[in-house]
Amino acid sequence: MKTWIHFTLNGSPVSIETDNDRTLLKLLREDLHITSLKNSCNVGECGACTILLDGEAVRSCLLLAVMVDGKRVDTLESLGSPVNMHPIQKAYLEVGAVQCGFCTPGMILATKALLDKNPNPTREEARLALSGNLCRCTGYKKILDAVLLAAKWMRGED
Amino acid sequence: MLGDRLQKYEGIAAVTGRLQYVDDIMLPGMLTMKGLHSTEAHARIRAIHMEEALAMPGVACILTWKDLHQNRWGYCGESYVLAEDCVQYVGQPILVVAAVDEDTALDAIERIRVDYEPLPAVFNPYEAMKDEVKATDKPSNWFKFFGTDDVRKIRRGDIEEAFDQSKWVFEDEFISQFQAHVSLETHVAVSTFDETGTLLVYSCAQGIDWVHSTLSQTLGLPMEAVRVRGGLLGGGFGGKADAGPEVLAALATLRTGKPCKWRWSMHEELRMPVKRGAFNLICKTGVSENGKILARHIRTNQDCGAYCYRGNKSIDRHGCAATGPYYIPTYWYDGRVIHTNKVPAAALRGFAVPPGSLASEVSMDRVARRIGIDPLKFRMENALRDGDPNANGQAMYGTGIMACLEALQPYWEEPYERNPGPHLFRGRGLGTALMPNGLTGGGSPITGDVKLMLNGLVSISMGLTEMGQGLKTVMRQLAAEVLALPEDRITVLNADTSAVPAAASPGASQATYINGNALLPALQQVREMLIRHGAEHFQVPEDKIILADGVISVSGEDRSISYAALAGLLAGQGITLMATSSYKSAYKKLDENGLGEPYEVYAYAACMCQVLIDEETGQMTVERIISAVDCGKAYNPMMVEGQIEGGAIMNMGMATMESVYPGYPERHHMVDNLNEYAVPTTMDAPDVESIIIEVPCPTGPMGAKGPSEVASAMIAPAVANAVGDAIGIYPTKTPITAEDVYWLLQKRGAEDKE
Repeated sequence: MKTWIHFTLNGSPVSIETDNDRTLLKLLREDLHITSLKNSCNVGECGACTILLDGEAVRSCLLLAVMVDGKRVDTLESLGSPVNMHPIQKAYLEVGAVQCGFCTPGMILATKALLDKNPNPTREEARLALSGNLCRCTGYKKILDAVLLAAKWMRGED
Repeated sequence: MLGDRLQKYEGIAAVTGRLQYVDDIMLPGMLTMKGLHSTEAHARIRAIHMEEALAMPGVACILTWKDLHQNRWGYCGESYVLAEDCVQYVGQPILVVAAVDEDTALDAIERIRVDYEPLPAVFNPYEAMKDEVKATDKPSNWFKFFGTDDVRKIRRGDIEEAFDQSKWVFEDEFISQFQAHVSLETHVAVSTFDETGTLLVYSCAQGIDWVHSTLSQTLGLPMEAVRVRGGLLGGGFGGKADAGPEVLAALATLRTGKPCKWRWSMHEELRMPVKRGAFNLICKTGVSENGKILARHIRTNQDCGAYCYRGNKSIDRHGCAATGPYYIPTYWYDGRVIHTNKVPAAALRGFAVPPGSLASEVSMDRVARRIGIDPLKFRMENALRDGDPNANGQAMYGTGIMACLEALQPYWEEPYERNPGPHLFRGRGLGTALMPNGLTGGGSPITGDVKLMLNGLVSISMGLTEMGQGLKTVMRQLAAEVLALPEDRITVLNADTSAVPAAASPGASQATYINGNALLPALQQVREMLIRHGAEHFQVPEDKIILADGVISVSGEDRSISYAALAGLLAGQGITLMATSSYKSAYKKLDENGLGEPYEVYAYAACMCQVLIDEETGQMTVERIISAVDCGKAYNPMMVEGQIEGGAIMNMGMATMESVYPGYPERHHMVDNLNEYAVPTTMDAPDVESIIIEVPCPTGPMGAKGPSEVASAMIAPAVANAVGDAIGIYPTKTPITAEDVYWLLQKRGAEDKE
């Protein structure tokens, strides 16, 4: 069975007919060709498919596409482009928080969700906020460094 | 320049979501592939019923082993692309379906029925060693190394005499587990045809050169009829060294004429080759009255699953590294590989070195404590020094282990609270590692090309694939240093078999070392050309020429010319500034006693781990990891730290939680997905404190060698030793789960009562 859904994707309205059992991950990647979010474990453990749903970091592999009807979906494309990077993106680069880069989109969105709610998190709060996103390359230290540096920059401190 | 914390070459694309991994390639009309995997550990396949699936609309083709030109492949020639009349482990691929979309492919797989005749299976390596139940159709479960020998030996000195002369002799048995890489990007391949009509395969393999030759062999095509492109991996760690889904994706494209994608789900990824195999080893060490190690005998059996992918190589590497970074005057080693009905094993970050480090280092701690020497002092007393022989009798140079141990000393001597609360016990442990860099047998030759282009950019082509570790970035830094121009004017090409001289696989921590060694002479030649042509242009002696920031100037004068302008002038004379150079690691074949020079270079590291244990539950927290790693020369300290930190946490996973067969070796349940296979998260991982040690490597490019695996291989023993320190009884198996710690505590309680 198919259903028409209407939602906001990265600031623009989208109307699309989708199978009722299609996950949001598949809709975004395969139907709408938003490839910044990644397909990895598909069971909500790794966080590579993280998106922002009305500002909350959620796993798109665990959501049915029909569940986002009427809501706001943001992916990494909404943050900044190479010519206009968001402070979080700059901070990840600055401290070397990117190795293979596969977890990076999900990590950055989880960071965004945290900093929008808590502009001055402690390291332990950052740890908790990113605990649903796996990274196999970095050991997380530089990712946590990036979160705190981005927070500092976004508060206007140097 | 060398030593700068330069940002990653591909970094901006990564943080803005613009990196296009293989799974992000979506081509018009592309077919989706799915595999059918064995549900049996050992069975004969009586029949496969696929008529219904073949008749389904949307199913383009179903491929079995009969469709391949050659089904056997791999370094030992033991592996199968697809199972033939037998399956020998759960998860073994039997066939693949290519269909218009994923749902159709999955539906087709569900409608295929395999008629199995179950055969006796053997999971437990100790059972397999009895050779009663055969895991495969070979006459023995013991792997035969190149013919008839089923054991790799090292015999250096008279071991019985040395143990007789020892004041103390200690023997312990250790066992490690099957560990999975869990690259977040699972294996994926896309095949299509390029602009010339040549078969083009996009691969996420580390060694696209190996993929290229495997495709040629298994499909029966000449090398020129296949092109492989890659160089963007979402993690590798050794799991993507060889070909994975490429062969069947390519075959499906040849069969249907359509682009095809085969991506393994994480469930499949955990069940498909390869993993790090399990090691069972007995470590016997003899020590003199004054605390010097006199002798060691290591006896290892590696459980490599059903087929030997590279188990033969790992067993040599293991024997070489199981001495640890110590001078051991008499050393014997017996290494065997055993087959069981489990997923085939090969390399995972450090290959066979971490299990050897586990045995060596836990033995070191137990010995030190039993004879009453401080564990750090005991290690320093026995540390390798320049000129000392390693396991194989090779003289070692650039030995940084002493510097690593000295760097740890202040941390080791810091006081700490051993009993911070009720039921809570804190402990500290040391670990070290010796890691051979480079492939066993010297590996294949590698070429690097350097060219100054007319636009003033320098183009580098290099053999090894970038796998996320930052190889392109550090090679830019090396080029910038030699050629005296900013990194952003250096472009790096790799991982296209039609365009770039490919070479082996970035593995065994060799990438910076051999790629740098291949490029450095070419870079130096181009530098000399810039000086020579600059001197001719300005009509001055060569020693008056200064190269800086992409500009050639004359010392003490106002005259200068940019590299681009010089390139333009020279082009008018038919001259291009370019050079190419090659490298192959030296290697001296091991003799019948296992003596020789198996690797060109070795890296060293030492660490301290601190754990907190709740005696009530056995729950362990790794509170601190301090790692001192000798990388010879840190081209990019930020990236070296990244390797140290990431390597540490990956091996902490081996130490504390990861297992493809939880309960190995007694149980043979196989994990389903990441819900069962735990890897460290932000909540498990402490902030690793990195100490970079730079003892110049005599044969390294600008003194460099690889830090990535040596930084990893030492963590598990340090965790085990910290547990031993905290509770007074040492774990001898990995992973050390809360359950294991709990039972160790019960055992200790029982011993106390006696």
